Amino acid sequence: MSTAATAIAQPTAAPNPTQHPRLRRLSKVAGALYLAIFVIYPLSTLVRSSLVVPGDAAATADNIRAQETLFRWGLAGEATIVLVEVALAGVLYALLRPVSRSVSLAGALARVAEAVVMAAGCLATGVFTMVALGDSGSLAAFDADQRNALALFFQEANEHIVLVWGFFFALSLLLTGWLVHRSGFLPRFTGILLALAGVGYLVQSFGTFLAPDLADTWQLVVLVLAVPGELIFALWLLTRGVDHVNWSAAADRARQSQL
Amino acid sequence: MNAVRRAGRWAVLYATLVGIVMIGLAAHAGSYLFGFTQPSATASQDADPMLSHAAPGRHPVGIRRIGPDDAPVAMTVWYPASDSTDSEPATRYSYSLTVLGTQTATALATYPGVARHGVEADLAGGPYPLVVLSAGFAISPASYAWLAEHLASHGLVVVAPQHAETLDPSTLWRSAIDRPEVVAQTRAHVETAATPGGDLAGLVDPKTVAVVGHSYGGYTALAAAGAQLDPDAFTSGCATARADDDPIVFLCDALQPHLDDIVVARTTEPEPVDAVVSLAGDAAMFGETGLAAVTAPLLVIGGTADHDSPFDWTTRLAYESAASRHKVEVSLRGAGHFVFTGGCDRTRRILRLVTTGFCDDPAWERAKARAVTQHYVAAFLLAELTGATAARTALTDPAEPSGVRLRSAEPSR
Repeated sequence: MSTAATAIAQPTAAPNPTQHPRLRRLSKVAGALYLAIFVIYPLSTLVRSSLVVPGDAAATADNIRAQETLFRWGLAGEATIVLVEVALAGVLYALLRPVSRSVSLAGALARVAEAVVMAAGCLATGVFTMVALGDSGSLAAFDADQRNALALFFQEANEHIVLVWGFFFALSLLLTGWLVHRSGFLPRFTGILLALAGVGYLVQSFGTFLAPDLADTWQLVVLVLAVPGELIFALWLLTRGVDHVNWSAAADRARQSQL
Repeated sequence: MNAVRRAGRWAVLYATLVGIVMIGLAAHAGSYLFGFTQPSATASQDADPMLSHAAPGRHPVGIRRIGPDDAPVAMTVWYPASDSTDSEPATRYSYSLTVLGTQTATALATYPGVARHGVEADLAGGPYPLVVLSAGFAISPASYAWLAEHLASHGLVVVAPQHAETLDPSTLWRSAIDRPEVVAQTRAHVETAATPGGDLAGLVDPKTVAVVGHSYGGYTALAAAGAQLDPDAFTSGCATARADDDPIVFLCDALQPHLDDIVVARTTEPEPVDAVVSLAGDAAMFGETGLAAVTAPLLVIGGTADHDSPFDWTTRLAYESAASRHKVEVSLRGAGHFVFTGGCDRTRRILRLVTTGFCDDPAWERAKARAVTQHYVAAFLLAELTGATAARTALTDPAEPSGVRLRSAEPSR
């Protein structure tokens, strides 16, 4: 059997839940959180794209006013993702710390940074849109067309903010992929897939900034590269978890190297 | 027993997990497919010398939206403007369907326009004839902005009411009642607004009126021009259509159970109109006799490969049955139903991958079909509403652009 095949096959041995119940719980929580993001994020995006009409401020404003509840659910979905990302950063840090404490910390920080940018960008633009289209009177100096234009401006700004948090997310995935690949307690191929997902997000963010005419291509790249990696990693954590023997060995090595 | 229970629990857990994963995958695919493409490069179209009225007119165009708080029905107004500077950015329009609700337009595509919001109207050349533009069923008025802007640039004021509809075929019969009423309300509002001191004073002449419509909007235009519903003719036509498996059966199924309601609800006769334009306009419910009540000059344009509102039941039937002394039929060989709707500069990705007919046509390039439509509609309306000689000459030119078949009946002089 080749070395690579051995490396993949090794961790597939079913972990013994009685020996490391906390570890097993931790990996299940990580998988569940990852799966939650996998489902909630595209649904939130779908809500936005069903209501926002690129370039047509009046239609966008009419849609958001008419479907305010749906729009608010979209915002709630994004807020949930922000919270889940922060929690996931902590869980993955704890899970991957035995491989490299500094890299695991960097990966977690990148993920938290992504969540912060997402909160500051996506959520803020959503809230500002609601203010622009609301009856609060704070924008009474603007006429209806101007308020509509403002709402569309916030929504179109969000399209670009996605690319900004994409940088941090890409970094987080690349580092997590490296950690998983090196870990020995998770299959190497999931690490490679995660790193590929990171490359996808990086290509999308840089690509759209540098070659906006090819934005459709970049979006396809991220879809093709990111979905398999993130889904498989989430399902592996949820159903198989980590190899407790190798995880303990890695944790011991990490403790010794600290001493 | 415990083993069975445990196995059952695992089966439920795994089924739930598979369900969640499927939802996630579907959401990812949906999120990508329903996203918008980047603007497509617009190939410069060589002007066809035969389509003299496809070129924009001399007026810059302004646009105004009148909300439901200011009028009985929300409407959009395109008008000749005097401001030729680029001080305001030009409008971008969406080609939309009202799927989620009457006030929620789900955009299929967006496209650039030339009109500028709220710019000063060119009152020096006014008042201009009024054109009421009726959109297709559950299609937004902005989907026809390419035509409205064109007509406004030629010195017409185009008013497009928002029909309160959602894309639900079971409500087609209700719309058959409401739509002529909406046109009447639109005309009444414009008439009030055109009085001294009104928002449209000096801009529009509410006594010189044309009604233009596409698809169900074509039905609306014909009804606004006096066409009478003929339940017997429709029922008989539907029986034939069912035997032939004709696509018009869709309309038969939607309207037949409510024909009596529609006839009873139509109590007021429409105000006279000076011209009617029906683009693939539904006409089957009028039958030959009902269409004979149309006496205003009539232009019908349709695609011969239209499977939503088949040519024989729309364009040809209206042309051959209307009693108009002046009528013109323009058939676009091989064109489908949605060749008359909005531009598709940026579309949802799914429309590039799946043939739906909304942004693709079996035979026609959209830009060319638009040029042909713009040419004939502008020439016809200018001839009928302003008496423009050049426009009349353009209509009577026997030369046909490629892919077009022209028939006309001129009044004897």
